[in-house]
Amino acid sequence: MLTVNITKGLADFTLRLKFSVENNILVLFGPSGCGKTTTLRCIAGLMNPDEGTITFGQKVFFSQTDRTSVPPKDRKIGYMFQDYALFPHLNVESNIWYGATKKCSNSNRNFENLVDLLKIGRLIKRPIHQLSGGEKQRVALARALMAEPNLLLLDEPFSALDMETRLELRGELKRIQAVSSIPFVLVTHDIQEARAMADKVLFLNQGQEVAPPVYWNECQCK
Amino acid sequence: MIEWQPVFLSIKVAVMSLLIVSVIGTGSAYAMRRWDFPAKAGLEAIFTLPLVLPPVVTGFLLLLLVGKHGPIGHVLGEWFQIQIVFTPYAAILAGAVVAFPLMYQSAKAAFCGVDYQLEDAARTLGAGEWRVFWTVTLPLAWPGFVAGLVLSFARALGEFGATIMVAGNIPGKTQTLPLAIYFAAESNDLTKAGLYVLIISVITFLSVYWLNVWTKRKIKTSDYRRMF
Repeated sequence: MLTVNITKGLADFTLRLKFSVENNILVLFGPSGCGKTTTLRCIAGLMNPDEGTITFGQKVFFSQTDRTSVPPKDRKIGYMFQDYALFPHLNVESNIWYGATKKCSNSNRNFENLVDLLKIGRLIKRPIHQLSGGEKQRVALARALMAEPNLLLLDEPFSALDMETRLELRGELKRIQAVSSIPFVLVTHDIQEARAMADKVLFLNQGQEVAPPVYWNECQCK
Repeated sequence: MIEWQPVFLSIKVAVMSLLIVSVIGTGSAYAMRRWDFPAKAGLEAIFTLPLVLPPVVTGFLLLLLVGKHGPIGHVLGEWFQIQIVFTPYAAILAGAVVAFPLMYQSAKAAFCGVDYQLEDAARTLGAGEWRVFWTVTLPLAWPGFVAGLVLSFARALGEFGATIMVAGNIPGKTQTLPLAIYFAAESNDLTKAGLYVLIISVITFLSVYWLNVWTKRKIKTSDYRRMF
């Protein structure tokens, strides 16, 4: 279980958040600039909070009082960036293998499973610039999962996709979460996406947890 | 006939200077991009000084540092019995110092062009800083890095002012091509000076020409051409 209790001063407000997530999908829902991505970056270790703690199970990733900050490489947290951050100088296959600790029969099997699951077998030799948005999303997901993370962070994973691809990938992502049974923390400002993906939703505004907005219960778009 | 010793010495000096600046220039550029510290602007200005100061002034400052009574020269002489001035090592030092800003500026511009998010992605995939540098930062900054290498090589090859200050003009020992050209011209041996000019011009032209062709080919065939 991931437990987050952090404070971080930002330019316009102070981010103060306390939440935990089990092996399901937690959606951080809120308008742009409310601190969602900062929260993900703090969890991944790409940024340190000013105060608080971040723990995963018994492991302390960050503790201001103990002056502990585990570097991102040792956290085993997958991060899917908003624009996917695929390495442009590597092809699809090399991108996916980047996070694998070593090539062995186990990782080969993992690679094949991911390629099948995400239907990217025909893409593996392609350079990144020849991929569509949906294909990039699949490759980024495969790359993150190939590193066998204990937790997956997804920053607006569907924002660059058309509606059809978005619907298709939402289903796939839910399926992958069920198969991998690791916690997913997904960030979005899209109400349909939040309703479709979430097992639990945390509503954010100006860095604080707030009550669900009025339109949340009116929207029947799941 | 001309003597080939200045040609070979110049190439040796330029290559050795290049090896030094490729490591120090790249390391400095990477560190300056990665970390913020109070004296950063001042240090950056010092790094650029050899580019804007007259080479003779750079040479004079080097002489103060590594000369027999300079702080570095004194330590090297007293403790290790090593003398740098008026040796080929001084020519290498002069070449490296004047070429450093070109390598530093090119590498810094190239590193600044690399998307931070790609490096962050590598970190979340389990890569340490060393692996991030070799597998993400450097490959993506490669064209700018190579341009820095070529410019530094050409600059070190053509160095005159700082070299004559710290290495002197000892034929067969510290006389590099630019010095040989100057002293041949001064003694009115224009044929010899002209041949040396031709040799240094051809070497420099070929280096820069190769860089242009390579860069163009890289952009054409690169999988990540959208970045340019």
